[in-house]
Amino acid sequence: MLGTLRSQLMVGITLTVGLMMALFIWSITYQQQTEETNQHIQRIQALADSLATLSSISVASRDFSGLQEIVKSISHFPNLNHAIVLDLRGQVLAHSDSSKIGLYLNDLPRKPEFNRLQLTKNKIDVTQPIIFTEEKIGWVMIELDRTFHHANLAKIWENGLLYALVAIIFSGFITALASRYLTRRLYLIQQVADQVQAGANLRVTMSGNDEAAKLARQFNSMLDSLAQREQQLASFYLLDLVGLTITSPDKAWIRTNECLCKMLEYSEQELREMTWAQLTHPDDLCSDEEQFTRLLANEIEGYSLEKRFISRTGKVIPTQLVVRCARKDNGEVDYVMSMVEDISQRKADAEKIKQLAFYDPLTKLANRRLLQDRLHQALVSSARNGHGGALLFLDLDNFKTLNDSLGHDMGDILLQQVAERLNACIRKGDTVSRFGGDEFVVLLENLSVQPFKAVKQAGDIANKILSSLNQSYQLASHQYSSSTSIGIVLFKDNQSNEDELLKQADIAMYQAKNSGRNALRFFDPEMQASLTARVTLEKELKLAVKNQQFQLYYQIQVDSSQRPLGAETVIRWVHPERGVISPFHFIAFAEETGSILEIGQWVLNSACAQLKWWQKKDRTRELTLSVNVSAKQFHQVDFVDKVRSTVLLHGINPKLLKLELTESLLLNNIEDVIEKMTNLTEIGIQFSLDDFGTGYSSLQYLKRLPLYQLKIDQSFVRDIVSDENDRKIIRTIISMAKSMDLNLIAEGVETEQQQALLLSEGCTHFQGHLYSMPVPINEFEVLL
Amino acid sequence: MNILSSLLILLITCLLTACEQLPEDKPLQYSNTPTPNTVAIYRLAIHPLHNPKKLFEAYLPLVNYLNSQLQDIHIELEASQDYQVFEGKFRARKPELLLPNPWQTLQAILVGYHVIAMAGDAEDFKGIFIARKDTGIKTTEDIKGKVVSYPSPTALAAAIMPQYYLYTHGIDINRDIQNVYVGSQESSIMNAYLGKSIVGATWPPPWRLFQRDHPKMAEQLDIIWQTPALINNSFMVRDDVPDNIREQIKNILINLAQSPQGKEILIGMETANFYAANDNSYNIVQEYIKHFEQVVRPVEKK
Repeated sequence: MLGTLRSQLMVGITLTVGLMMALFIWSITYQQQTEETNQHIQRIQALADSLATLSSISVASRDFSGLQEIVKSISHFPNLNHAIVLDLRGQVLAHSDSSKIGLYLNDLPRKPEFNRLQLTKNKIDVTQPIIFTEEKIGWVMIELDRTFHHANLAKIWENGLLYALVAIIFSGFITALASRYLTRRLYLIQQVADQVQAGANLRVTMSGNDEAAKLARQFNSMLDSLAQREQQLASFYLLDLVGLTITSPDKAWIRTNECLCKMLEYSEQELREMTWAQLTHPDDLCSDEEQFTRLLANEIEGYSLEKRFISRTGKVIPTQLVVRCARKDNGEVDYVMSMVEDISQRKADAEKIKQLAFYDPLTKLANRRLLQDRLHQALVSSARNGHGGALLFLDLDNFKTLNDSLGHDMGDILLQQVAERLNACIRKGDTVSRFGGDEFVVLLENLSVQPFKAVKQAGDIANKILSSLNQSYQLASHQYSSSTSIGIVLFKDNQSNEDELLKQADIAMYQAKNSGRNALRFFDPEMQASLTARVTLEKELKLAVKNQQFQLYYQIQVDSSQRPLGAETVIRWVHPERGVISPFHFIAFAEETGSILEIGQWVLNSACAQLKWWQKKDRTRELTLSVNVSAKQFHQVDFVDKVRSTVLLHGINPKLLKLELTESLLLNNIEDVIEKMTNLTEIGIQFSLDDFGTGYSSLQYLKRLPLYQLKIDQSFVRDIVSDENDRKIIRTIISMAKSMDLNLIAEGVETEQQQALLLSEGCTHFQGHLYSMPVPINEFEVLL
Repeated sequence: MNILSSLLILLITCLLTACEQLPEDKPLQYSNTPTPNTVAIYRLAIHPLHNPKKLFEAYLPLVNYLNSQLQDIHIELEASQDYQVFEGKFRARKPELLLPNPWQTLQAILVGYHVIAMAGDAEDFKGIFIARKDTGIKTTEDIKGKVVSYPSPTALAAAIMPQYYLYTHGIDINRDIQNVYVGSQESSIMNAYLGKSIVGATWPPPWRLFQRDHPKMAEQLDIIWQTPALINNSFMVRDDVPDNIREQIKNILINLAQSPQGKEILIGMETANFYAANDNSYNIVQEYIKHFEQVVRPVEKK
């Protein structure tokens, strides 16, 4: 009934008019009633006052005839029911109905000094005392009839209702006309809105400047805005950068954009007959449906996840899915909006990055980073499941030679073929990595929980690898054979960290290599002890250098008459706990760690100081002092300067200082060696070639070296008595030295017989235990 | 719809509240008997020595005082329009208590009332002649042919005694003057003041009251003659009043001057005191009336 604005307007105004009229009638009636009642009260009280006053003297005098006359005189008063005069006992003294005179009225006020006014439905009564000279002497009772009053009110009421009815009908009629006139323009807008809703592209045409015209303009503006937004949305929807779709809560496609259709290789019409679940990769369907169910249950407003679609041609398309929903007022999902982004390229890029980050580009094997990661995972896994594991550290034997001889290209081909063979040898789940250069590490997981079985499993695989890698390789046109050294370390229960395991495997590999190559070795705890000892030694050696815990020993060198010619300095480490330590135990290590540079300088410095001291005495002034120089020390760029400055610092005769070089020192960068030796020779320093005959010295180079002395190695001297070959070698050396005009000295002479034989061959200078062990300076000077 | 519903509810409420909610009519309930358990009402009728209003003002304190002292009865004061009415009342034996003048005392005794006290000094019971000062009256001869006003022909002090005085001073009241009975003491004075009469007869209490209430008018008046004193008004009870009530009333009256409140009441009544008296005390009046009727006129028309 109230569905339209017109009917609402009509009903509203009619009701309002009805209400206002009702209020008006009510107000008039109420006012009239109140006014009339008040008037009656005033009139009856005035009448009672008059009667009381008039009758007071007659009552005081008990003049009953006079009283009755007074009462009769007011009995004509309109609507008067009765007028009564009573004495204090309630006896009627006078009455408008004279038959009541002499009777009693006992219902008088208890407090006679007050008036009593009683208003009943049809009557109004007043009872008033008669006061005479301030003394109450009787009562006056007056009663008026009010029925006529009700009749008046009823008439007013009826008239009011009639007027109200007419007003309501009239207002309804006027309102109907007015509402029809006022809403005609709104109906026009409504008609256009209905047609727009039905699909027409219309606008409201309305002139004027009233509210309806403004509404029409705003309505048109809203339609324009909607159309523009629709167009913008459509253009956005047509973008082929990303797939967009609207689906129903039952997973059916409702709308899909061109991009998504292309991606899935279905037309939009075809998709409308399918659900997205049908095109979802089975492995991803569960997670997607789980989120979708939560969305329907109003637990979430949206979600995003990676999932794979399967296109018409079966192509698996990885996508990034972003889902949001629109809800109805009751919270139910109305429809679902999804953005589907094809992330195939992104995935490929990520894979590529992963390859670059974790794989060796040459062999496609895992790189060191990935290996460490896998090793970490393996340790954790081992700790969890109790299975053993193993690290196989492989190093190709003589790979450097291959690179040097056939070139790096062939080396790379070899590495690639090795990688293929390694992959062929391992089980699924194991990891092969290229650790660097020609080093490979194989990580074996899930070996037996029993250690001896795990050892056997690891050994079997290592032997299989050794066997495989021992097969010949075809490197382009070259046939090549190679061998491998393998160090194996077993692990279990996450007892070691990754670096430690790798180091242990490396140690084992070196042990294999030291054993003759083409071998495998399990990591030995003794090797670990040795390793630990090396670490300790390194620390202590650094401390020794810092605290100068070294001492020079001197081994005398004599001529054929056993006259002292000088001495070779031999360093001793005076360890605060372990006592005097031979250079055999720390010099090689010092060379590895680089400490040899400082030690060498200390030796040189100490030797120069000793020479300076000797120079001050006649008996020792001519003595020479040999100092061993390590290769690392000699190859220092500033070696010449250091020696020169040391000599100058101590102010010694350079000719008394003899630097002993080893043959191995001459192997690298011979030109530099020659230059440095020449520079030092120029200031008078002499060179002695130590351990001569044990290396592979090129005579061509030897000829160019500014040597002063050759030192026949003690290995030849040791067997000179029993081994003819040694004797021949010594003879050749002596002959060669003489032909090159070099001084000769034999070291390691321990017997008179050896000395006699050397002397018979032409060697006149000797050094060895026969003359003295290396001794401290004070003992040495006793020998002189 | 909510607004429309609210409007409808408001409309109905207005119409309903327009109806007047009043109690039903209740007719008067008449009875032949008064309310039971009420104390006995005794009416005290006082001779109209004043108009009813003044009489109430003067005597209501006495009535209230009596009521405060008496437990078993309640006394109501009753005025009378004039002497005839008053006399008609006691002759009909309606009032239980009376305060009549001496002549009426004699009449009341005849119908069963008895004197229990005398109201006021006997010396004060005398007639006085009030005349305007500007009348120039010197002797009784000067009033011959003139109007003389009296309250009532039965008023002893204000009519009988003045007329006897005039008789004794050579005036034949029946022929020499015109006697006008104006109903009350104050009327008699007012007649003289207004010149309606050459002289107004009254007695001292009303004159003192007039002087007090109307001093300006009283200044223009003067007492030109006064009669010898006789005896004052009486206080009477009807013979059916129980003795104890009568004695209580008598005691209260006689002892009235003993208390300050009683003295004030007496002053208001222009009465010096109440004195013990009985019916015999008024025999003198009987004699006086008898002689008066013989020589002047009958007190009442037969």
